[in-house]
Amino acid sequence: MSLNKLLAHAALRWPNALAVKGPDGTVTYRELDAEANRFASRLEELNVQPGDRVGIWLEKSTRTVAAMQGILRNRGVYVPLDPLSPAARVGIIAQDCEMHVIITTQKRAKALSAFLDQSLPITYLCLGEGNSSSDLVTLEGNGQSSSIRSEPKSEDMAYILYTSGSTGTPKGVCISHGNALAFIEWALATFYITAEDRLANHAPFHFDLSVFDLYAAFSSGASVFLLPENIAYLPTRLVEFIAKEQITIWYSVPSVLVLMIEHANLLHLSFPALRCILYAGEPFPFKHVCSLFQWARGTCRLFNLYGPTETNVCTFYEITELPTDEYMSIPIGQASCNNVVWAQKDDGTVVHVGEEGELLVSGPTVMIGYWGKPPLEKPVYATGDIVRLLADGNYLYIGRRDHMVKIRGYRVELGEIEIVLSHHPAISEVAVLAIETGIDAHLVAFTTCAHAPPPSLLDIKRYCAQHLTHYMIIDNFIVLQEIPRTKNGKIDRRALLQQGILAINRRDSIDETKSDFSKA
Amino acid sequence: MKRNLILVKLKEYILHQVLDSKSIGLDETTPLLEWGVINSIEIVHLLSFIQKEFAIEISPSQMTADHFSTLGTITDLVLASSVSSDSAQS
Repeated sequence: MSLNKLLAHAALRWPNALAVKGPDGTVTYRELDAEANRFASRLEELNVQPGDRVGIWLEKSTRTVAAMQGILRNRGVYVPLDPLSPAARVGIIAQDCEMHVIITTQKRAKALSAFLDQSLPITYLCLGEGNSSSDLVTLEGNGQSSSIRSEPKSEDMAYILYTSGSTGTPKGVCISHGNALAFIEWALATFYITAEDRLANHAPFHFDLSVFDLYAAFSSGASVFLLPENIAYLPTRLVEFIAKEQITIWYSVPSVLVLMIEHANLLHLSFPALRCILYAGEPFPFKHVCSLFQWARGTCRLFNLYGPTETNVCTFYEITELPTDEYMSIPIGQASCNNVVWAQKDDGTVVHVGEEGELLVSGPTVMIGYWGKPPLEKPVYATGDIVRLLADGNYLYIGRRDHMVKIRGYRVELGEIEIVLSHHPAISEVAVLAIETGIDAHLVAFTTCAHAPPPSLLDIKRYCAQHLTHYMIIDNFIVLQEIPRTKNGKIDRRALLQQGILAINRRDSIDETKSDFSKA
Repeated sequence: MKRNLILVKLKEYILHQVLDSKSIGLDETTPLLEWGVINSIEIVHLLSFIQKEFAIEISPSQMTADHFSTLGTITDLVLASSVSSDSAQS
């Protein structure tokens, strides 16, 4: 079985059912399947061979989904790229995985070509901006499957998701058909997804949460409703969307749910259709998850899903009773998808109840490996997350081993930001820290400057935006005489953290005194 | 309401509430979203500031991130919304 079979199968079984609704309209399973075939034929003309990487740098739409499926159908590997990412970063990814084709718009292709070595054999397949009659590429044909290519094998690569890399460049997580299917099969059985379901797709396609939304729908004939990028963080629009589309299954990072709770009165609204809320990507602030549970109790199930991109979802926990405040945190639970998980202490021994260690995962959802690196010899992945084993067999997330942080659920390696900022002409030394978590997370850069006056925050933000994706742009910028160091010469992050907290609090208190500035 | 007045108030807000008060080069066309001057969470705060400060309601259909891309587009949004609020009241 391969991932691309899911849509083909749905088109036979539920041809007239609504498959995807996006900002560009709706498509049935038959229509989506035909469009995917047209993409596949076009890619075949462009000589895309099995295993070739094809990038997709587009905003969300039904056609973006069709493009993804067309690539798989051609036995290519799709690489979804953040539509909000600057061309420079997309260029690094395109070169890293030696893309053959990038499906994008003419405007984006023009911006990207400035960053790509002209000698690289990359073909741009440019689509019109939504309106199909203005398409530069006419995807002709009757949408019948023309390919006689053999089916991909379970271990063949299906897609690559790029995440932040500590060495300064993004790294590509290679996922096989089998990895994704093992997760989807588990999800179907756990959440009982049927053709009646209406799934919201909040996460962007380069973020692994979206894998569930699309393929769980395709597997069961359900419908998926794409939340366009331009309303994804506007809480009043989100609650309106859930009501209007009669969403039955919602999956997002906790930050987005907290936004709806704090700014759109979520807990005073009722959504009769909503039967399941799944969250992942970061811890849910305890106070809010308790009130969400009380609101949802009896009508809507609530699940914490856990797993780095490298493992899909590898543990899960259903909140079935009001959480006790013993840990002030919801456990990440126990293994999912036939995986085996365990926690290991620094000396290599497995933890006992009450002890903490690094979480390791082994099983069918663990990635093939990183692009450009040898594949994993065994499907075992050390997550870098420190967990505690509880008496009931669940694991509780405690923290990170390294400098990876989560910004609104997105994983950010502080090293990637530090390396980019260290190339700024005015900056000599730099350390970046994340202060607070969830929707209050702030990225603060501490720097020493080569010459006065130091750059302004606006300057630094502009510089970040040219090289980093939006959730890695720093929020505060503090110039120091020197970066504090510990006795053994390492950057003293604890001292910086104190300074950062002070600076943010000071700013907040200044803000309060200034809140009436415009009336003065 | 005068366009210029709205623009000045919005600029003051961005400069002092979001930036470090000393950012030269912030003008009507500075790409606020693209440069991360206002991020996804900040839009929510900006929205409540706008609704309070200018005593207007932004209609849900107008509420998209595209309207927050520059000081100029936010000003246009405020102007359009104050026109519709005025006509709703009259």
